[in-house]
Amino acid sequence: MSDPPRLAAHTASLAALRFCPMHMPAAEVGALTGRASHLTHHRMIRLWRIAAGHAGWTAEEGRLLHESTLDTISAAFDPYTPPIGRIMLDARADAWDAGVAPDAVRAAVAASDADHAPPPAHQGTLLVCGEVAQLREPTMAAIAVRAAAHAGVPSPAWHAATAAVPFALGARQIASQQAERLRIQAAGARRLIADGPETFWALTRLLPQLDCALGPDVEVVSLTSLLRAATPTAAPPAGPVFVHDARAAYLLSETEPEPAASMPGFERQPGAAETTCGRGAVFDVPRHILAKLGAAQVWGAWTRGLAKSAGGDDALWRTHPALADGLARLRATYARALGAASIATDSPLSAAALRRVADAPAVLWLPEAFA
Amino acid sequence: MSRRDALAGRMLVNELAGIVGRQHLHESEADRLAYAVDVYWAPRLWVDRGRLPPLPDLVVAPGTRDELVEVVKLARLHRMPIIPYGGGSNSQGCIVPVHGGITVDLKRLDRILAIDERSGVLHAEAGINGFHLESALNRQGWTLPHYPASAHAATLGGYLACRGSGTVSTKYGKAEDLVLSIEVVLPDGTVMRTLAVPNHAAGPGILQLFVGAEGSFGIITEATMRLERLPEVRRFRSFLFPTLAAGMQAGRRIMLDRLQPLVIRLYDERSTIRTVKHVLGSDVSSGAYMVLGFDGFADIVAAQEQRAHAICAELGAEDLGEEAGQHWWDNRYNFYFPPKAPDFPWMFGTLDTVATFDRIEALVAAKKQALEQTFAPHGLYYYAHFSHWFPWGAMVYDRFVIEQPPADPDEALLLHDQVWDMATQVSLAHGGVINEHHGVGLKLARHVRRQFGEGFRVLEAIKNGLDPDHLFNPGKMGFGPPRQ
Repeated sequence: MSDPPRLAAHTASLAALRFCPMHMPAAEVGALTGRASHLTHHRMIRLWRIAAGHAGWTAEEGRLLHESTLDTISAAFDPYTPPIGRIMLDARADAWDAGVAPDAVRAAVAASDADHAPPPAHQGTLLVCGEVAQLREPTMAAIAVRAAAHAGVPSPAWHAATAAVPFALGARQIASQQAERLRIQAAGARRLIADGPETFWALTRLLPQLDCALGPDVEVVSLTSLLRAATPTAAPPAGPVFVHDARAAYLLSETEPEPAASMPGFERQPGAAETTCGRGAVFDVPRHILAKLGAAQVWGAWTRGLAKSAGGDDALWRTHPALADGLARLRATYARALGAASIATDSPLSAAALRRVADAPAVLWLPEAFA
Repeated sequence: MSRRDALAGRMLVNELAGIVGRQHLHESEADRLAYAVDVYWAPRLWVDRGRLPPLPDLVVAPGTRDELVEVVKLARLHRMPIIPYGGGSNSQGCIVPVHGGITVDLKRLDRILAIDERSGVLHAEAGINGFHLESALNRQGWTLPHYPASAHAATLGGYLACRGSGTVSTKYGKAEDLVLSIEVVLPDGTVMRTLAVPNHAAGPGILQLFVGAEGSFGIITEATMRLERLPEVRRFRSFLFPTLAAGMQAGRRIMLDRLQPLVIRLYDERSTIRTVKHVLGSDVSSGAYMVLGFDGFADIVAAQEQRAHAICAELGAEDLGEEAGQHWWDNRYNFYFPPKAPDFPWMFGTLDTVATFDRIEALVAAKKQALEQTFAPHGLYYYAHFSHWFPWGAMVYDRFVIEQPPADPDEALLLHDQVWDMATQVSLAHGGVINEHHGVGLKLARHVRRQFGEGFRVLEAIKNGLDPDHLFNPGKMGFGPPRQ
């Protein structure tokens, strides 16, 4: 059963955004492919045509829509923060219902269900490996478990489907089913530790949106926030470090964004601060951990809320691996241009994506410094 | 393929793909539509009303100058128009493929080739995005002092092809003043480089033939540009003049005294009330608002400010302080994001005229009167600001708006063109030039012959010599369609 079309509710926003080329510097997929049809305003033209009844959903529209990172960064870059990410998400939901989601998208949604396992036996605390589960990477799960134990919170790893993948890909009913399953299976736990920002966002923001909020007595914390107080066991990463923030970090900071981008002529003026690219604990904690490690940090304009995707977000690496690898390559190139010898991230999905780049700088997934 | 049969079309596609790579050749309707709409109101009108504007037959994105040369030679062999495309941010319809053909996206030519620190000069490929270029230069302490509203989207080649002006052009000059030399691919595929420097007595300046030609004479592939060090200080201050005339007098005196303001932005009363209050939230309800800025070494800036501010005070300006001026500078790009930029359902256009000081005020008054009287039944209103100043005159960034244009797109386009025709006639009759920095494109093509008079024969002779089949960006600059 399909829901009523959601895109029509965005017609006014789409009409306003469709002819504005100002988001171009923030382009992610468009910067990689060079295709104008991958730029935000051209996406808005196409979606407006559908919303206004001038065009319908076709396989071609579905293909273009999913060749994207949801363009959330365009909203962060825009001084008026229009709802571009929400428009893209609702468009994907309509495309799914219209049956035009590409095969690779359907396969990724199915795979996300296959990633799920029932929760292991626990003592009230579970380490929810929503991102590591997607990667099917036992080593990272073991690292997460050791890091949590090192932080004084021993907990078994739960490979859980958090609804984030089907939600991002437009499969709303499957997302609701995953959310409901997670809510029921988590009922015995009092504390859930999220393995990365996407998992933390899903547990704290997405589940309530899907009417599956965890009980009020369930505490959700991020693994990174636990590590903030712990003593690192590793040496600092090599050379200056660039911190990569996942798209989910922006979603978590969305209620307190500082979207101002550095404008020409001002990027390196005295007094410029990294926090002008976005504020919030989700950005600050990884940097605090690196400072504790004694690592020198570098930054450029595309960081925090303005961080461009490294291809690990929203299952793009599963649906469009070549695009995801290209985004990771661009991100690694950017970090190197800033003088970074290493890239650090709290996102297991981003770490894995960056490690797929053949000649990337060294990549540190922050829990590795505590395991 | 509008100009080829199916078999020949496929063969051409295959040949082009062999040059640029299949992934850099786009033929879907989605891609072709994306390359058919820029910031010009007319193709947007078509989209808004559910129509499709003219689409290119194909889009290709060469990754090197040599690939571009091969594309140009092949297009010429097949007598296919070539439309150069940078950021797609032109407001005049420069990239609208009115005769179909091959749109050539130049954004893959995006390398900074060298920064010559000793000369303060940049060598770069023409497809580099303005925002990314500026960010990269800033990291090394340099700036290309050209900050147009389109900097987020436009390319270096686009700056030059349309003779753009940036926010700080009053001090640093327009795009054509910042360029030392360029490399151009001519319509026969020849690669030409202009002389190494623009100031010489070694014959006429060929450089400026291609700067502003909007791709009609050749495609710019590389440019050498003058750079500036990031300034020690950059300061702004706002003033409120009792009248626009008083503000104009202040601006004129500052320029004739040969002070070197970075910015003089003077808004007429309607702009002061509508734009400044709307966008900046400043509590201004009458008068003429001016933002005045200087940059450079602190002591020199202070000295220039002292003289300029004294002129403003003499002419009765209220000093609104540094914070208001800085606020304008910090938010200067916000004017171009929705919901602040004018948009449908309105009909609107930026008329953009330049003239000497002795003519500019009368020109603006005449244009305002002519447009608001003639198109009163349509509710047209007119407002203006003066944003680019020269030692001899100023550019007026004037705009008309009709908030309820005809619903029928053909009627709406007719009305739109009638407004432009009248505005252009008034500008010419009062000694103005029809455009200062947006370009000609499709929008003003029909006025170029009158603008240049006999001089247009010179342009035609150059066009016919370089591009006898009129395949380079046909329909723009008044040169008409491709020749069969």
